[in-house]
Amino acid sequence: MSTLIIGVPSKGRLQEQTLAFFADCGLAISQDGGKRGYAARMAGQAAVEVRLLSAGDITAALRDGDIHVGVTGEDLLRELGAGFQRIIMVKPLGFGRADLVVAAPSAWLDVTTMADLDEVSAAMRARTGKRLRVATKYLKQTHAFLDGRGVDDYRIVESLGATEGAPAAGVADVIVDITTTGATLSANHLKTLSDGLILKSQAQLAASRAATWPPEARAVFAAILDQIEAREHGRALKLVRAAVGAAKAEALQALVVRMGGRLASESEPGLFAFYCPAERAPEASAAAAALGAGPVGVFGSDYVFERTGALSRRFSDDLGPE
Amino acid sequence: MTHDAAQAIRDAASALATRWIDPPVLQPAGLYLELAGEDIRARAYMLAGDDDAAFCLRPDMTAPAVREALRDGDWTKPFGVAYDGLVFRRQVDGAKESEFRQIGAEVFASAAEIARREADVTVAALDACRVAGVEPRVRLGDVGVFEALVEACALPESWSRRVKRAFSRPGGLATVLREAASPPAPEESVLGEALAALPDDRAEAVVEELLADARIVLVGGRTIGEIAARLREKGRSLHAPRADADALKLIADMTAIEAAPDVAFDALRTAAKNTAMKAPAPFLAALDRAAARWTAVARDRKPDATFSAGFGRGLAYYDGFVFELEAPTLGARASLGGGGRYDGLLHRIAASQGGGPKSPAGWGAAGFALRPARIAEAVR
Repeated sequence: MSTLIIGVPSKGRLQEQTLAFFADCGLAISQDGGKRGYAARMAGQAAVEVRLLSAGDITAALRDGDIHVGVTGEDLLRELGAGFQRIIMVKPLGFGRADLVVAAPSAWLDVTTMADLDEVSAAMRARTGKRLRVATKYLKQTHAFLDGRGVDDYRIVESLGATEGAPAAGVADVIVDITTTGATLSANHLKTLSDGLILKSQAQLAASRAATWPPEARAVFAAILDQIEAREHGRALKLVRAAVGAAKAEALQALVVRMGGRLASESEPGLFAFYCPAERAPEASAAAAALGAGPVGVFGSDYVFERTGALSRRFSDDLGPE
Repeated sequence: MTHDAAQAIRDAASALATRWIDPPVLQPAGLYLELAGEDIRARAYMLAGDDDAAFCLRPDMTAPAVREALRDGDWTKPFGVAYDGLVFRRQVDGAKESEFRQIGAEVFASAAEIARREADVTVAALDACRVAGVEPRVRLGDVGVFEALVEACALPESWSRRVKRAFSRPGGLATVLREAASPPAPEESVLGEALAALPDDRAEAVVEELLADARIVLVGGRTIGEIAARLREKGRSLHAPRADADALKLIADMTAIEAAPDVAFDALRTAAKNTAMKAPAPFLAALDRAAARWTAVARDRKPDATFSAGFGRGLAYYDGFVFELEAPTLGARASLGGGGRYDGLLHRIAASQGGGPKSPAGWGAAGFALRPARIAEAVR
């Protein structure tokens, strides 16, 4: 019986990026049954069971509490509607970026804003008695967004396949869909409205409030979060070693503070090591070199762990007391 | 007792109706989505059929009754139908009952004849409550009075449309007033201005050529002519008159009036003397009709009542008089039911069923529906 169940995308670019992310954090995922297996293990985490599922199934499993944690798109999570209350978005992952937008026919030269769409929909209904047809898979977010913009003479045509083709196929007038570059929209003679951005989505590491979280599960996930955060800090920080001499100790400490860094150690009098934001490391190192006699070395760090990680602490607060 | 309340309503419905009907519980979801908009998804139980959301459990009896009447009525002389059945609503906004019984009647006749029977419909519902042992408070409104009020203020066409649409939305009028007070900068439309200077057919040809040059294919349900016309309208609107702020304020003030009917009618008549009301005659006429209707109801009954020109009803069905009966002792569950006039709904449903030989052109419709369980609760 696994302590913590993690859902990971089972196919496509989202899977590649998710596996690369965990591998980079030293949490490599290996599939038990070869490439086709749908259960997997996570390196160094014997108590974790990894399940390979579609992003949609991960979203539903989070809602239902069938998995503790999963990687899926924010667009899908928000589409849960009331079920979104059961989700904790623990960490945005920086990949799988896409915008959920309202797109209208490019030929509608008179329509550039939501206010235009509102007027046009009212005119259509007054003239034909029919509502503007909006094709989308994102029923709840579409409804909430259009409602908030005062558009109400519309009707959703639920699309299951290629939403962007619906206007050309004659079954819809406008669409609400995910886009990355807008190329697919243009190819289908559609354009986004200037104020028609509903959501800037990306992949999220999300946890389920509906799952049962015994102390062991919380501890295992906290350890994983600490490692993810340590890796992130490792990438963002350089370790600078500078032999400035004991006489320059105060000047070096002031320099560290000025550079937004933190003192790591003084291994012998006058030999300091400090962490410095990677982008300021050259400037800080040159300044440190100017202070002292000895050479200054700059080192990359794989991980920088803290006593208690901010990420795991925030998750624990969000989930509430045990 | 439930039986007594139900029997009282059934008797009242029988008096208005020529026959009883039993419409299907399953209704086409598309019909409700067209009539009431996407909000209905949150209020009605939608069922997946072979197509997307093909059915819903009927959230009311009015639309199903109209469909039955259109299918089976002979539409040569006035008639009415009565019903008694369960309706189903999702439990949103603290509503307690996910299914409840509605009993009511819908009457159909020429628009002029229906106007004469509006008072009968109100009386039927009111008397049913009284027979069952409840003295309800009556909330009255009249969408026709509101529309006449907007017309009388002679706003620019686009503002008139916006005000009327805002009426059915909570807080809608306040939003329109705010927008009028701080108008957005008119959008620059070079193309629109240029097209506005051309004759109609030339403007359309220009748009067509622009799209062809840009290799843009026209998709969606509008024609090039409509796009060109609206571009021209945008071009002209740079110089168009803005809404008269005094008139918008007057509309907001008048729709906020809520008082005993005779007091409210007097207040509205007085307010109509405001100079912001450019053409008060049709408004005063609509007000007189509402007053006469109420006099016919109240003459022998003298119920506790309020009238508000801003009282519109949520389902956006009604386009004439509306009423709701309430038992204040029931608090949040005070509504016992209501009714009103809905010619537009009748014609929209007829159009969606493809018209046919039984076209109700020139006809009107009105009806009421009550909730026996609530009435029984109020009696206790």
